[in-house]
Amino acid sequence: MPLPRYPSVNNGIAMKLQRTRLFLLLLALPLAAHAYEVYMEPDNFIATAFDGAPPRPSTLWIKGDLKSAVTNLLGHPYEKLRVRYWRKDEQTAWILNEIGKEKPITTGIIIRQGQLKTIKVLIFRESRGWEVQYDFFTDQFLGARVDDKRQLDRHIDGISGATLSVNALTKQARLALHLDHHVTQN
Amino acid sequence: MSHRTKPHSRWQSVFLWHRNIGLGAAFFVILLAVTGVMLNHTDQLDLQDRRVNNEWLLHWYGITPPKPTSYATSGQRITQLGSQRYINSNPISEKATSLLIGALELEDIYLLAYQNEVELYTPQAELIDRVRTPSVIDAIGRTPQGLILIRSEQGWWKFNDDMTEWMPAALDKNPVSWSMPSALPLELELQLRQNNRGDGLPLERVILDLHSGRLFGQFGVLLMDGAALMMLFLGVSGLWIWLDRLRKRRAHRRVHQH
Repeated sequence: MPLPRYPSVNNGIAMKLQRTRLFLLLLALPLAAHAYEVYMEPDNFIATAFDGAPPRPSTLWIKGDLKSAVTNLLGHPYEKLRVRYWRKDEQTAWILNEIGKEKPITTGIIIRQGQLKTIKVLIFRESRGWEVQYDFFTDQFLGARVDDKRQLDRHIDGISGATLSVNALTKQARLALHLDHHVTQN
Repeated sequence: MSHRTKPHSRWQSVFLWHRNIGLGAAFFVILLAVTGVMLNHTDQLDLQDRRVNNEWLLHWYGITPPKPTSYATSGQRITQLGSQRYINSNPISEKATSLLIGALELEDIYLLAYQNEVELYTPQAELIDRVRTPSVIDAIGRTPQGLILIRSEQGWWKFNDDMTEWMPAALDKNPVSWSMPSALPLELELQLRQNNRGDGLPLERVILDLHSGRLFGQFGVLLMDGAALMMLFLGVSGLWIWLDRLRKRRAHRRVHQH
């Protein structure tokens, strides 16, 4: 009985095609990565943080000792000298920007009684590292505080391939906790 | 007696081709090696930030120098040159994404207006804050009383006291001094052009194009393709010559052993 040569050849070609498709798909993955994504408008975040009735924004000038502390914390000066924040009862809300690799990540952070209550990526502009938006990552920050050295009281697990975004969010969390401490203690 | 030259052996023929092509490829090998090493160390050599100022190259790339847009504030100058902005001659580190439509100075704070936002800067060009405008604006100005106003098709707005929000403003009967562009003093323009690190032409682009041959268009690419084929031939022929010599040396040794 003759061997079924042609079907096996066809199968081989089909497998090669399949592999080529898979290879091309893998090549195209980075292109499909998010480049500019607004997950939530900052105004909506602030409204939600205060149950639809946000207070008027306050401003905090980052200068003098605070500027030195912030520069030390971030490893560079904050992008602006004036930061707007919202404060009601024992809660403050912050919209902060920090560069991951090349472009700023805009994050909304709520601090209640010195503890991080919510952290949410609002606008992501980088081409990689967008996984930091997911709850499995941001939930690690819930309840976090900063110590005297402005370090978080816990270890934050990274995400492979998103190290710079993870670092940016960790710095933002530390910065928000530090600024909250500054405005509530003064 | 004839003086017919002995026909080249296959070995000699390959060796001659290897030598001649090697000589021809030498220039490309040096060029590719130097530019390749430079591209491998882009960050250390700061190639991305270095700008090419050579007029011929800028012209070759079709890059024309940007025209400055400049506004005079109380004795100071706010200028945009391409995406680079300056307060007097102090460059603002962040690049502009839209065109400046006006600039004012108020108590040591510089206000730079764009269609959708107003940026506040210190005299040292440090960003204080960005305040979004309620709608697309076409001008920023001030009243004789020092009130800052912005103008759009929907109306006028004024800054609140701490310059964080815009509030609707009634059309003022008093004359409003709207910020208007004016000619940049020649000396400052020359200084800014010299220091302009705007979009320009990064050195990395030129090195990359030199490496790929694209600096000379499609012809350059084909030339580099040819150079690549030459190097490929050199690799194969070099290996072939080495193996051939090895084989002959072994044969020679074998004859002497017997």
